[in-house]
Amino acid sequence: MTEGPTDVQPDEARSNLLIAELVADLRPVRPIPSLRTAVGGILGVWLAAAAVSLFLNDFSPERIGGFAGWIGPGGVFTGLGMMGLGGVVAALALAAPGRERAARGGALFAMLGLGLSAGIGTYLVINGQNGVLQNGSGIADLTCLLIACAVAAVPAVGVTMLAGRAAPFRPLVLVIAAAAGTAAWGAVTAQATCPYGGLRHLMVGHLMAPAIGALLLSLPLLFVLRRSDRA
Amino acid sequence: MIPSLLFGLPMHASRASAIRWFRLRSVMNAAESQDERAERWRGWMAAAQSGDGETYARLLTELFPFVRGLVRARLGDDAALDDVAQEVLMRIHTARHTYRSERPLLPWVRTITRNAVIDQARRRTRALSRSSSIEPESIAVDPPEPPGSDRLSPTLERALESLPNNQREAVWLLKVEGLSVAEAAERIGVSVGALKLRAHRGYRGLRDLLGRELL
Repeated sequence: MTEGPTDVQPDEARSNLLIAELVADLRPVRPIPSLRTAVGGILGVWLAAAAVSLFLNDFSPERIGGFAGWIGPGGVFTGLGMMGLGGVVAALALAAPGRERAARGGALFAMLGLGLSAGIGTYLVINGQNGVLQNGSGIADLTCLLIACAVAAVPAVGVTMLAGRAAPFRPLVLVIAAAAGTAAWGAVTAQATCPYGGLRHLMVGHLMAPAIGALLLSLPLLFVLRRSDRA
Repeated sequence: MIPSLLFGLPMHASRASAIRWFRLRSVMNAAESQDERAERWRGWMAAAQSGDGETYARLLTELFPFVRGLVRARLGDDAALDDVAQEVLMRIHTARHTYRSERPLLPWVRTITRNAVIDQARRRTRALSRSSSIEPESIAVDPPEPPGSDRLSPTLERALESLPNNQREAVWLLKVEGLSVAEAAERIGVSVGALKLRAHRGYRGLRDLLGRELL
């Protein structure tokens, strides 16, 4: 078959003009940090925020030791940590072109964390191990959720500002990932000082934190992202 | 024997094996040249990040047909093909700080291109759904006023009419109807970048034309 008559030829003059304009606009730029560096920086910010939170909430290492022997808190703790890391990696990867694989990997890792926590919870319910540790009241659930979101706010703003300096393509997905991920890390912090280890409290007060964090923080983060968008 | 020496063909090769050999060589050469090109562009992008305009011009000039091919593979021979390809160049320009020179350049360019094509498809879908939601009764029966009918001076009207259609339309929507860039881009179904570019060229054209007339 011959080439179709509708073959569109490039508008060379226009493209050359555009190239000339872009070259005239060229200024030296400093490349954004690597994904690893950015994640490391955010991890540092979270650890600093967590340290302040632990100090304010009278953290004692014995409490962690008491939980470690039981699969419920340990599993939720690990799962939340995975969700946090996955969410932050996904958010930062969504901020720059060419990092799609990392974004998918981060999302998958976060899903694995969620699956681990939910799986352990389901296993314990099925096997009737629901009442090993105290559940606390609804206030206790709310307190843990609020601590998680408060601790999450600082690294979430960090992620968003780093992303805003790059070239985010899906801002809403990015801020949801950032909010959920950092809220998961916030829940890890809350769990370190939480006196309750019952399954219901873990599921509502800790495991729900990423969802609540996404609900509460996404819109403010979207605002921060738009403000810090250098484009 | 001489062809064997010239092309590196094994001695005493049969006709069939010779054909296979040449095919293999051509595939290898093509792969090598693609790798070399990608490596060259990677180096040029790193130079552009440090402000080397000459290298940047070469990079964009070589990248444009490549990008256009990527856009064409997704859009086909679409009317917006060149607009989208040019928008990709603009996005490469604004996002050049997100490229890290230790990483390969082509996946980065492909992602930017894919995102621009997705945005174009979204804009088109929005424009189609908006136009299909307009009731026939609500469409004005009066023909649209020609550019510069009673609000523009005859000199400006003439200059505006002498612009190419797409530039005149962009200038008209932005400066006479007072739409925002995003609204104007949506109205005519092109990217914001492409509309800005058209308007910029329109302003430049007007400046040239009016300057000449005033002289």
